Amino acid sequence: MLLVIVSGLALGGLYGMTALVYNVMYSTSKVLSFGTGQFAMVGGIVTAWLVLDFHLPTWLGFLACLVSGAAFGWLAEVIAVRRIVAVSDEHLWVLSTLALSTMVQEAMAIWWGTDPTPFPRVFPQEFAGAFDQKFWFPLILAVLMAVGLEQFYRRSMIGKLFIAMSEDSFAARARGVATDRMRSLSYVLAGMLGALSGFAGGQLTFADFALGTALGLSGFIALAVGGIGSSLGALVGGAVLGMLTALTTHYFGAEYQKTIAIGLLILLLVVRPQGLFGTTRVRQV
Amino acid sequence: MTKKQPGIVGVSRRRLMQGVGAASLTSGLALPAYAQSKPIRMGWIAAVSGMFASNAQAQDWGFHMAVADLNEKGGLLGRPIEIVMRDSAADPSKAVSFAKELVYNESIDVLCGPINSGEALPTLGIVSGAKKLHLIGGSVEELIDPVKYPLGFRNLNANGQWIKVGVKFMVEDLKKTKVAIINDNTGYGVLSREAVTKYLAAYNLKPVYTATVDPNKPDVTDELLKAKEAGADVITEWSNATGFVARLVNARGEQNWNVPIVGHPTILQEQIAKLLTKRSYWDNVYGLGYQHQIVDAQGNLPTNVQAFMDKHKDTIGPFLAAGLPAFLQGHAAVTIYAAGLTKAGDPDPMKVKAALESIPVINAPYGPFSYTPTDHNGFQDAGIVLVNANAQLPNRGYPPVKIA
Repeated sequence: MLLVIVSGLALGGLYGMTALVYNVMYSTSKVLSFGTGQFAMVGGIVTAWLVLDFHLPTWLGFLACLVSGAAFGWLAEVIAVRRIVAVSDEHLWVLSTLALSTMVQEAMAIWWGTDPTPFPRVFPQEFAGAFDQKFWFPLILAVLMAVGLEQFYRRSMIGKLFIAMSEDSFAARARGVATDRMRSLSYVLAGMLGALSGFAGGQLTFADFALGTALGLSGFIALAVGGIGSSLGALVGGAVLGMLTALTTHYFGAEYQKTIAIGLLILLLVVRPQGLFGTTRVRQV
Repeated sequence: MTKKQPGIVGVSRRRLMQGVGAASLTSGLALPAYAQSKPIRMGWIAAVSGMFASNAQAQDWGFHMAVADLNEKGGLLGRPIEIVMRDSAADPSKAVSFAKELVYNESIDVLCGPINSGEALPTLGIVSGAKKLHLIGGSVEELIDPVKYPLGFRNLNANGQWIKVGVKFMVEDLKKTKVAIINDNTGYGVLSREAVTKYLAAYNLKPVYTATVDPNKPDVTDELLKAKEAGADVITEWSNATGFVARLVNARGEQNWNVPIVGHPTILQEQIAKLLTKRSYWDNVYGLGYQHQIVDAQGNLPTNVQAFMDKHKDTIGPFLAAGLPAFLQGHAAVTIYAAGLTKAGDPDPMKVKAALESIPVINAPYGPFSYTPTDHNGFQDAGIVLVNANAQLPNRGYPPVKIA
C-alpha cells in the first residue's frame, strides 16, 4: 500500500509542477498555454540526449535542460502569445499555443524518434522500493517549486510585478510597469520550471516525445482543482489527482481510473467552481 | 495552296489506307504473342512515408528484392514482372484512391497491400468488386472472409494467431493457470484482451486480473501490485507502446516478483532493454516471434532466409533495424502470388485463386502458408514461436546475426 501511495504522490508531484507552470504564465498574460506540457518533454529529451548520448555529467545536463526550457519559453511567448494578445481580446491564444505545441511535438518526433528512450539516474542509487529517487524526486521538487514561487511572488520585485499584472495588467502598465517585458520574463521562467519538471519526472516518464500532451492535460486538471493562481492549490490539486488515479486503480481497477478520477473532479468543480484554493472574482457593477 | 497536315505529307489516301490495313493485319496476328510476353503487373500499395514508414520501407524493399530475384530468373510464366507502386502515406483515404486507380486504370494482375489493417479494410470492397486477386497485408481478423472477398488472401499471420499461440504457451508449456492480462487502452489492446479471454476459456480458465491502462501513464506499479494480490502466476501484456511495456517489466523487476511475462513482439525489442533499470529484469520475459528469426547453433537463420539476406547484403543495411518480419512480409506477398500463378499457368484471378487453395504448403521465407477454399488466412501456427527476451544467441536469434 505504501508503494501505491508513494507512486500516486509522485505522479501528483509531476501534475502539480505542471499546474504551477500554467500559473506563472497565466499571471502575466491570462493565457492557459496548450504548450505547457511540452516544456517538460523538451527538458527531458535534452537531458537524456546530452547525458546518455554525449556522456556529459548529469549536472551539466541539468543546466542545459533549464536553458533549453528558458529558450523554448521565450520563443513560445514571442511566437504564440505576444502578437495574439496584443491584437485580439478573443481567446485566439488557444489556437496559437495549440499549433506551436503540435509543431514542437512533431519536430521532436522527427528528430528524436517516437520511441521513448532512457533517462539517466540522477543520483547513484539501487532501486529502493517506495524510497526510490524516481518517486521522491518529483515529489520534493514539486514542493520546493511551490515554496520557491511563493517566496518569489512575495519577496522579489519581479514577483510582485507578476502579481500586479495578474490583478490588473492595464493598471500595472499605467503605473510604468513594462508589461511586455514582464510577460516575456514570466514565459522564460515558466519554460525553465517546466523543463525542471521534465528532469524531475524523467525516470518515471522516460524521454518521450508524447509526454507533453498527457502531462499538459493532467496539469490543467490539477490547476482547475486547486484553483487558478494559487501555488498551494496547484500542489494540492496535483496530489489529489495523482492519489485519485492510484487509489482508483487499486480499489476499482485500471479501467475506471480516468472516469472516476475526472468524475470526482467534475463533482468538486460543480460544488466549488473556483477550485479548492481559488478565489471568486467579484465583478463591480 | 492548301496546307498539308503534318505526318501525311506526300502520302496518297490509297497508300495511307493500304498502310492502315497492313498495320491492322500485322497487329492482329501479333496479339497472342504480345499477350504472352507482356509483363505481369503487380500493384503495390505501401505507406513508405508517414507514421508507419520505417516498417513499410523495409516491406517495400523486401517486395522489390523478391520481384528482382524472380525477374533475374526470367519472370513468371516467361513474362517479366512490373511493379506499379503507390505510397499511401498511412492515410486510408489515399489507400482507397490508389486501390481504385490500380485495379481500374492500371491493368494490374494482382494488388498487394495496403500493408496495415486500417488502410486495408476500406479497400476490400473495391478490389473485390473489380475481381482482382488481393494479397492483404493486415493482421486484424475481419480482413479475411472467403465468402465476401473470395479473391482476398492474407500474407502474414492473423492477430488472433499470435494470441492463440501465446495462450497455449502459458497454459501448456509454462503450466500457468492464473493469468493476469494487462493491455493498453487502444482498440488493439482491448481487442487483444478479449481474444486472450476467449482462448483461455477454451482451457476452462478465466483471467484472475485484467487491467486496461493508458500507455502514457508514467507508472504502472499499482496495476502490477493488483495482479500480484489477485494471485496471478503469469502476466500477459498486449501493447506495442515501448514505454508502457518497459514500465511494466521494470515494475515487476522492482517488486522482485519473478512471474513470467508473455506478450506482444514489442517486448522483444532492444529498445525495451534500453529502458529497463536492469537488464536482468528482461529474464523470464517471452515475446511472440517467428520461426524465421531463429538461428541454428552456427548462428545461421533458416536456409531460405539466410540465402535471401546474403544475396542482398549490399542493400539490406538500412532495413535491418525494422526487423526480419517486415521485409520478409513484403517478400511473402510476391512469393505467394508467384506460387499461385506458376501453378495456375494463367494470371486469370479465379485460376490463381483455385491454385492457391490447392497448393499444400507455400514455404515462403516469412513462414509456411496453406490456403483452403474456406480459409484464406494461410499462415501456419508452426511459423510462430515464443522467444525468450533475454536469452543469448543462438537460442534467441533476434536480431539476425550473420550475413555472409
